Amino acid sequence: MLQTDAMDVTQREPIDPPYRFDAYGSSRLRVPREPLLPMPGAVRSLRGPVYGDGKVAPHDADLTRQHAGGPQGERIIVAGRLLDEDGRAIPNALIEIWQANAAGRYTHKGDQHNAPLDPNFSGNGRVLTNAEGNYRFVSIKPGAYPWRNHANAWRPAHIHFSLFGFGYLSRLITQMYFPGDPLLPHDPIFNSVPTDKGRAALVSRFDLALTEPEHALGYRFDIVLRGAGATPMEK
Amino acid sequence: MQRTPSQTVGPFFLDALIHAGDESAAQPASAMATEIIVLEGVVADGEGNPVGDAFLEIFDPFAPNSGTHSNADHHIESAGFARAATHANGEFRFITHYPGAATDRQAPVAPHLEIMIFARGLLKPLATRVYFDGDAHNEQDSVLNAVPASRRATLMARRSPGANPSHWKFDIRLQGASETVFFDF
Ligand SMILES: [Fe+3]
Repeated sequence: MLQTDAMDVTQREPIDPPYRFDAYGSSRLRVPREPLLPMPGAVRSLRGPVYGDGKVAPHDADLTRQHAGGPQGERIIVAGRLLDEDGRAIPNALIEIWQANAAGRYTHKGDQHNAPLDPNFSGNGRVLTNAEGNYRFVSIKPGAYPWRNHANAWRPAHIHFSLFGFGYLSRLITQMYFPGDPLLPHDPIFNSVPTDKGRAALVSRFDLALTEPEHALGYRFDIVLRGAGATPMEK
Repeated sequence: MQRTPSQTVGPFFLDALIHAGDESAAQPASAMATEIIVLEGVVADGEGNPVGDAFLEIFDPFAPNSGTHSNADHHIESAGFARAATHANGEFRFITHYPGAATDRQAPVAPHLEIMIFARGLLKPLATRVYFDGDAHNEQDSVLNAVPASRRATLMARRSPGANPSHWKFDIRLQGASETVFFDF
């Protein structure tokens, strides 16, 4: 638990957004102002929760086949590889996704946007990575949607991702964006990421090899999670 | 390799992430001797308003079989792990076991649960811990002792009188007076 044996991450270029980012209005009252304490060393090396495969059904990864009919919108395949910082594939890891429909509307009851709901689209998916850390979803391209952060504010099209890796601190929730989206330079959430390299990592890449003829456009999105420490705690 | 940056969970995660039963980390009686407890509280913002669109994950690093599959009713099958959203009034509720004491490299570790908090407005999760008021091991816990004494109480769940199973109250203040202690994620 001594801090001296912990890797000094503060010396590195920041990767994640800061907590306090005033251009993102919702952050103002919800982020700590007191100094953060150093993460206990034992937590840095704590193994994270793991998952069984019994609860993930095949249709969970195909958001176009969860209802009687197909959803409106441009069909897409989103696939990639889940790795840790050391380049190790993360197998059998749970990935959960959620997104707006093609019109930019979530099924969530709190979504006030007056775009239409699609009775054939819920926008929620789950999948486990395979032995090589690869995952694949089929969905439709989400629409942009307005929000009230500032005047004429629109979120660029995005898919929310929730991920678990080897270590407890490898937990990640992020958003995948689409290449060439004209809203990206205007979005405070995307631009809360402090570096060009970090922002680029959130933009998926169109991939003709992943694209299926007569069916769906392919976008590749690889995800890298924090590496796991070595020493589990003793009982 | 550079890791992928965090983004906020936003306000619309409910249908994707929150499923009935996921708020329980309780295991079959044979698997675990310690008592089942309810851990509940309110998440509030810098003005004391309830945060009604957050979710929390708790993890007991010393749960028996932690890191193995356990609760058959869970969408997320891992011993010692549970997930719950806050309600409109900011309240959350978990069912779990009173965690065990342990040692880490010979140093005593008081019973605690790790907690992550996700919400609109948080561009990355907040990490904290809950300890249990009155536990004899608290005095020797090096993490707790490193917290300034004036803020230590923010990491302490307090037992509510009377209820069975025992109910423990743990409020989380994201900002402002009596702000909860968070660890650098
Ligand atoms: Fe969104």
